[in-house]
Amino acid sequence: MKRRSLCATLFSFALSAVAAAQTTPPAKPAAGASTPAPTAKAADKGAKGAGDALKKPRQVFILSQKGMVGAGLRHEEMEKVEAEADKFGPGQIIILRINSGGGSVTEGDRISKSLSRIREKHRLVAWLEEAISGAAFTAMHCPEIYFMKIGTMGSITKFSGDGSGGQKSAEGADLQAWIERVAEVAEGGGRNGQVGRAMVYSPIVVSYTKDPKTGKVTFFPDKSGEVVLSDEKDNLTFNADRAMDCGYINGVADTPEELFAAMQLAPGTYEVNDAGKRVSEQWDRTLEKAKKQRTEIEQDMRLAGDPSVKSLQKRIQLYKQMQDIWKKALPVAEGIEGGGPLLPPGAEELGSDLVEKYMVAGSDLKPKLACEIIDRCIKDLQKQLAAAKKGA
Amino acid sequence: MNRWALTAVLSLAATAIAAPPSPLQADQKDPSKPPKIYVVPFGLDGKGQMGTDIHSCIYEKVVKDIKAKKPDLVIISLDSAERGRREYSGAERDSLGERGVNNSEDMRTTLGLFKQDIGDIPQVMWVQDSVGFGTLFALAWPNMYTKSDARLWGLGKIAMQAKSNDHEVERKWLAAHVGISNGFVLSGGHPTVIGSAMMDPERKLSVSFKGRDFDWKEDQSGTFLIDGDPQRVANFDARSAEDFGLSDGAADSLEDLMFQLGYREWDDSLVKNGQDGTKMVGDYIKAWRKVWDESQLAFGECQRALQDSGDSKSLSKAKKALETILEGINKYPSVELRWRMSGQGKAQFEAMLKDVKDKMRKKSSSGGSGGSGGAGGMR
Repeated sequence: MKRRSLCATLFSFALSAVAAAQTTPPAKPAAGASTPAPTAKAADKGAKGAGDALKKPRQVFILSQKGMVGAGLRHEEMEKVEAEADKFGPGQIIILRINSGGGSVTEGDRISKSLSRIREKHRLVAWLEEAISGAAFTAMHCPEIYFMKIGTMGSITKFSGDGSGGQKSAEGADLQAWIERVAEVAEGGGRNGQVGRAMVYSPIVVSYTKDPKTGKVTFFPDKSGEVVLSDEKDNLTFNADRAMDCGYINGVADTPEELFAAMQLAPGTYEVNDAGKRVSEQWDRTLEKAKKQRTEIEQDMRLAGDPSVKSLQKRIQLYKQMQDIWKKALPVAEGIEGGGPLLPPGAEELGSDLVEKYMVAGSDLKPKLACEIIDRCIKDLQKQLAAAKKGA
Repeated sequence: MNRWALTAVLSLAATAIAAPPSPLQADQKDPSKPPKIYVVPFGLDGKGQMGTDIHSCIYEKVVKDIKAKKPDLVIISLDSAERGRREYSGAERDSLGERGVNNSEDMRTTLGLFKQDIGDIPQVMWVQDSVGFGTLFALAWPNMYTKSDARLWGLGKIAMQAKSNDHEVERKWLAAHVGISNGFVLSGGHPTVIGSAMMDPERKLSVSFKGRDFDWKEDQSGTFLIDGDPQRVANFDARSAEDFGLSDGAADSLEDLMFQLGYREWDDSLVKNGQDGTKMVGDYIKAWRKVWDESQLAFGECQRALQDSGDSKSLSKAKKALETILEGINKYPSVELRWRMSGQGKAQFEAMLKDVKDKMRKKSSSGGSGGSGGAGGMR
């Protein structure tokens, strides 16, 4: 099997593995799901039992999540901020500032678990610039959602590669499972499930009627409501106007100050903790560095030349750098933004058993397996090096 | 001066005295003084490619300049007809490589610079002509005027971008792109039904008057049908944009615009002395395009040099050419974008440069031993 075909197989497998993984429903928050979206006060339930911690100013963590789900938007950073917030006790405020066009559904499953846990302890808020596909799925876990004026959320249709460079949407049982999964997540975040369904599959219809006196919104799984949010042709994607009108979001804010006001945070009752910023900046730096390093490795591999002593030594050094990327920046090593898994040429012959394991492994095992594959390649090169030295 | 002329002058003067100040003047820091105006071109002299000529990298500098000069009114002059410029014929248009790029992220950055960083200064969008993604910028400012022959066209490109063999995938991308783009429409205070009909051919659009307000409909039930053709998107020109309240009026010159805005006097010293954004933007457009031209020439030189014998001289030429290309890419995102549009990326050039340097090193080390030998021979 050539390297390119290995990459393609790994990629298509990863996507089919996703389909199996995503039927796990997310944990629901303690309070029952309600429609429309909870108000800021209701969302304070996370603070219950916080005791003395509440007398101190609450810590506000703003975690900026941008880029692909699985690369720039990940559960790991959310969990790092969770750990920081936990140090101050329950009832802290975690704001996910999201700007993403979506990405890996597998990562979506991990995010789901992390956010379902975090929202039990802290006030969890999504602040959206762009939340398309997996990013919308992420945002819907948050009991409170705010849009920037220019914000957007939706288009959660699941698709995978069709094997010929195109894209193919989910069908049959896989599609049904995904539709219900998104509906459950919407309801788990305290919102109407039909709206979530309409974001997945265009024939699904949803409309609503708003009581002019009470402002209460009632959704309908057909066109009988006064406002049709999504007809049988549309895949639903919200802008701030409709999302606000039907109560799917809690407010609109372009700056942190506007956001805090919309969240009804009284001055003096909160403090912005820079741990959120630190965590996101640190990961951004790691990603950028790893991307650059990967490009350089790939360039140097092409230039490594004939198997001379010097060239073999250079290759061993490059393989070790590959392992470094697998350990530090998995999304870059996996090549989820393109390029496929970062493995030496010939890895599939030398480590065929490990490659098979790699193909069925989850992301937690992949770095270890990839490093083992690379280790074998290094050992092979070391043998060649010894022989070359003898020959010389 | 005859009697009629005198009467005319007096009545004009009376009008000027009686005319209420522009509503925008009330938003100035000092509403009593004539406003100091600052013009920012979004595209200039027929060069208005979205993603290159119109890019946040230059507007970061312009906004910094605006903050320093503290004008009372910012006029954004949009001229982004891209390939749709009237003066080009079909074949010419297609050969220009001037098609705009839908970089919503960069467009949001630019919008944020104006709406957040200098949001306290009154701003007006003045559309010279807009065909393509620039139309999103046209719609993103609530105060919009157009030239009398301006167009607000070209958002149908968004539906074309979403095309896919899979129906659901196409619906997903169309909804996503329309949603993202409608953020700009909403930012200008316009209903998103207008934006959707301008982007998605299947959306219909009509409008009725409700008193002095417009009641937009996503179907054909309104009094005026804007678009009922499922094969085409809705487009507006200066007249229809004004008739249906998208624009506040037509103005063919800066003076016209200022009068339309309700000003009778203003301070245009920044504009007249080349101290507004016009020179900065013009210089930027000229500069990146010059670097792009040089970059293309350098690529040709590089290819020729690499096809040569591979001696040190040709390798050195190729190295220099590649360094020129990379310098241009590093200096201007627009140059990088143009290379990407033609199928080449920064990483490729870096790899080529590394390769050339490697060859030069090998040559020099083998040449170096030869040199030593030569030196030995001299003893």
